[in-house]
Amino acid sequence: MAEPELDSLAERLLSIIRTKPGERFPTEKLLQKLTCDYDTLRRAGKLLADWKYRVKRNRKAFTFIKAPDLLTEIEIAHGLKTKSIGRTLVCYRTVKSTNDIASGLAERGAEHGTVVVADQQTKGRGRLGRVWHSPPETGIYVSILLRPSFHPERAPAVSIMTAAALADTFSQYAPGEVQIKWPNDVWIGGKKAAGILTELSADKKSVHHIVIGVGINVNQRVGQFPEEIRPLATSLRRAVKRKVRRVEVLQSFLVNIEREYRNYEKDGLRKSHAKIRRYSALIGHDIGIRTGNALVEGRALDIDIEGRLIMDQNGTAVPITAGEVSVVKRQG
Amino acid sequence: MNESYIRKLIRLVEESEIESLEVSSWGRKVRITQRLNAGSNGHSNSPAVMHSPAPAPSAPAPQTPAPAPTPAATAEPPAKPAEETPSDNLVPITSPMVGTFYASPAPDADPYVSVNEKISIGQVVCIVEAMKLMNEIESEVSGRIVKVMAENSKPVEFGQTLFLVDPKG
Repeated sequence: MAEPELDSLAERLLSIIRTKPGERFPTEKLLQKLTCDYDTLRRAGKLLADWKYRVKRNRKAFTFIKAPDLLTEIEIAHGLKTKSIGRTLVCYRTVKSTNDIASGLAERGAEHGTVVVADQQTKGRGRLGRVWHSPPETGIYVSILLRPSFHPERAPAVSIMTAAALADTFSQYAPGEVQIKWPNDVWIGGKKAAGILTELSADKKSVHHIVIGVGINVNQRVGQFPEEIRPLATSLRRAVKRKVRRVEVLQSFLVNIEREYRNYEKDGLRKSHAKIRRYSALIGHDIGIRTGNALVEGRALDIDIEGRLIMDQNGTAVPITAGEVSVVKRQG
Repeated sequence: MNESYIRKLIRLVEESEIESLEVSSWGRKVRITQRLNAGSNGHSNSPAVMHSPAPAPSAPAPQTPAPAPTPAATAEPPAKPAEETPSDNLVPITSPMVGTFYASPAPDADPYVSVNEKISIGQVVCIVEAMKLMNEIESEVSGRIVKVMAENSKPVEFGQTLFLVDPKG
């Protein structure tokens, strides 16, 4: 049997036995269902083990024990409850940057909802050429391709929409500890657990595509962060004090962003506005906003329906769309 | 303002004794002029049409008016404040949104384009960021960068000119 055929046989075997984990599937029945000989079935079982699936195998039966926490097409697609986001999955062990791959796919006509995932990035990017530390087997590095029909002017709120989807996912693990630092950082316990890099390709009238890149710290231990970001960074594992399945986190995020995007396309942030304000780490706090070399201080009052931060600057409510925000810590 | 509407306007002018008719609708402006010869009723003259996407906040397209039938017809009043109106042969690249202008992909990187550089259609010339959405601005013209009109990491307005391009450059 040629290798691709063995691959597909192994996938079919997996899809049968994983329906009832811990249960014995008699070899004889599997041979009938898969219409192959015992030696081929044995090799398919061996292949599943190579793919890091735990399967008990003997002459009489196959028993599914556990799936690996790998960001593979099979694992992500298994039980993924979305309609468009992630229906096309492109998974890599190692890439330079998932956003670059997704942009390239977009230029070549990839469909709306295409998702690019990597276990590791060697040139993970943040805004303005900053580095997103992307070591293997711990985080999720994912880019989502959107092809909206709305006007480019409506595109900027996509960052905050994504933050809301992430915050909902994190809240399933660490309820009450999740905050959005406007507009695009998601905090757990006051530290950054995820970053978002949204890139737009558009002309004046229409959006060609949007690529949302997200880096999520899932299973990093404190010591695994580079020293300079250690006081500011956290992971889901650190918050819940156990290892978390990355596949599960990613599936939850894809479901949440599909919903948030559908709502946003239909009526902007209206449905999520209250939630976004509730998650806000800034509203009611004194903040500083740095734009270039200029620093403006004031109190964050609100986030408006367009996702802009409303700031009190000497008695005037000013809508903010740009700049680096920091919370001003006062003594005493 | 579609073609058949403009045809109607031309017929209206042709059939009349008026020398010039200007109509604006939804930010687009059309002006039709004709030369009324002394001793003639003007029916034999074909009107000249000038079509300009005038006071819209976006880029004023390069105006290449049809040969003006009368000297008066060329005196088009400026649609925008003088400092935003580039000279005739230069084409502006404008910002599609309110945001922050970045000339380069990273603070320590080379700018996407610099003065005197030749650019082509679709080439990324800068980034405008709004609420952390990075918008790579692609040029809609080819030519030579004559001037960078925006300052790095400073705010820009919707429709503000970022670059001036000489399309013949």
